[in-house]
Amino acid sequence: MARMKFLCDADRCINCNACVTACKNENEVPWGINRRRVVTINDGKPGERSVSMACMHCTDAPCAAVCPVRCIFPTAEGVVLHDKDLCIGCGYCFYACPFGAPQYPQIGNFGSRGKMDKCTFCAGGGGSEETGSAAEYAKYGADRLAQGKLPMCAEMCSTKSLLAGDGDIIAQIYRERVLTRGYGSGAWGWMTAYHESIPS
Amino acid sequence: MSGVAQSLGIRHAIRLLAFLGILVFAFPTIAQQATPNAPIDPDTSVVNEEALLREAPRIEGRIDQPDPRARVLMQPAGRKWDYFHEVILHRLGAIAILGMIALLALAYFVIGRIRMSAGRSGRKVVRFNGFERFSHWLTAVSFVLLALTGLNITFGKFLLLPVMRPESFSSLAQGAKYVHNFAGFSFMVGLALIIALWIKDNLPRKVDLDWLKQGGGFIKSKHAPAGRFNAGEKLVFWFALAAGLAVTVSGIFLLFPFYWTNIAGMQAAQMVHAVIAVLFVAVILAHIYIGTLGMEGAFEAMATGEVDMNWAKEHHDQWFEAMLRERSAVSSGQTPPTPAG
Amino acid sequence: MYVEINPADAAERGIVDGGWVWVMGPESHSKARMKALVTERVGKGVSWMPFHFAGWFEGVDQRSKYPKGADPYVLGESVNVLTTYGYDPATGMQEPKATLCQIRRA
Repeated sequence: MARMKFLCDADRCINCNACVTACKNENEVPWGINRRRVVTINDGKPGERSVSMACMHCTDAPCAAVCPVRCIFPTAEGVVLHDKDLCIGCGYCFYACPFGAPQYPQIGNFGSRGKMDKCTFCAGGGGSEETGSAAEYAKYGADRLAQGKLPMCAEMCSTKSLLAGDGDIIAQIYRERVLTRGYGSGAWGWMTAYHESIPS
Repeated sequence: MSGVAQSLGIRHAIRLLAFLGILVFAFPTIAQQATPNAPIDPDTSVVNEEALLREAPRIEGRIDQPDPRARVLMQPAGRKWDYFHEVILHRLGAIAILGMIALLALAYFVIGRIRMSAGRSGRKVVRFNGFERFSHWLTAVSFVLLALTGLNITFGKFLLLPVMRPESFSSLAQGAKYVHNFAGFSFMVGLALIIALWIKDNLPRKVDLDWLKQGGGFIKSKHAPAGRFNAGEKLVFWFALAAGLAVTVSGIFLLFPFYWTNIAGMQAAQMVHAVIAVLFVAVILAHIYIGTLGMEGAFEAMATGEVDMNWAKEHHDQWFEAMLRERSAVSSGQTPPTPAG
Repeated sequence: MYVEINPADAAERGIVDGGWVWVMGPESHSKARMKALVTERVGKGVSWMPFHFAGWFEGVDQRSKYPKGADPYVLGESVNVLTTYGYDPATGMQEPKATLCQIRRA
């Protein structure tokens, strides 16, 4: 079975934020929740690089390990999903996540958090709702993976810097790119998320 | 060489030198012309992930969204915090709490309930007034609520989740979270009252050394002198003060996340809160034991406020004598001396 | 609405990243109030503003003047209030790409 991964080619990303807009639109993400964001390092200086970051769907995800109610779990394809009905909004998954993927709506008393929301690889949610149903969409957003489609962010990337899909295939694509153009700043986040790097 | 030939030679030399000079600067362009499609390597000046992580614990950059937390691209410390929470804290908590329970069980079965040597006299003396008892019970009840709901966050998924449906456990955990948030405030109030009421009587004095040397009342043949609070109680007081302040400050950071600090600060606050809390629970278990099962005549001090005279004479003799002097001074019209700590 | 300004220019004017600034255009005492984005993206002496914002004029929020329910979520100053009087002599088209401005801390 294919193991789904994300790879943002930092040498191609132009900080256009099409991925951010695509995600927000496709999943009707509410105001204030940033499932995906583009971070620019060394802005304006030589060596500036932009990286698009959402949930990396890690191997042995730290968010799943620390969750006090065990509402986060990986699917067979390696996509890390969670069940919003079980989530208690404690915020531990954000402390554990190396990439800052979990987001919380602020709902009330003190800094109290609502149910955690994060990138789902456009694979719907980990709850009891039927796959592809309107109820699932209202809670988690689109379920494109069930229809055999890839996440909207990668589909909409204007430079095809954001790759999503079978980990082996996208590693191969990245390797070919680096060989052809002669340089590559590396697969950002892969060592932390998947405990592997792409030899280039 | 003739003069004309010399000047021609010099001019040639100058021209040759000039040509060589230009050639030196022309080398890159010559190289480019030689291989016009040779790629320029933009990575010569690029920042790469490993270098950035070696310089700083987090990689941060500029983003277009207004949320400052989203500026962090990568914080590998999250996996370390995960290890702390899932491995270190679980082991520490289990050892501290189960270990303490085991120690107390041992104490109960080996030493047993510490009885009053002279038996009950039937005459009572006031030990704690109503306001003191209220402050203690406010803190105590809050503490028990905080302890149970707090331990649920760390250990609930091992102890309760296997025997409940996930939906029920989540509802319980959700309610527990709210109870923990609100009971924190009553605990803070109670702690402040306790500190204000009893700090003077808990200041260390010479009599505490004697109490410790005499075995603290656990050795029947020896007599351990004490003021209003003995050395053991003073240790509990100061531990509760320090630990209480630590969980209060870290708890306020956790109640208002990211209000005053960034993700590293929040992880640190959670670590401090969790470690101190499990140790606090262990110490309070011992405190509860000694105040209930462990010692005859102790619980009524906090329940009714009055203790048996023989109990007071045996365990807090200096305080009892000071109370007697005060009472006789009052009855004879003199100003009562303040009771010794 | 924001204006990208070089750190050297910002330091000279006492402007901080995210702080409010007034941007003045070359004609009609035009001015607009917006936030400053202090960055090396623009060189010293150059500033950059996005267009397609609307709903503020000379620092005053015009949300109440929109038809009910028609106001966009995000309002901002329009940059063409500040752009130059220059125009293309052949077509009469405006000069939206380059203009003179002065920026002052608000």
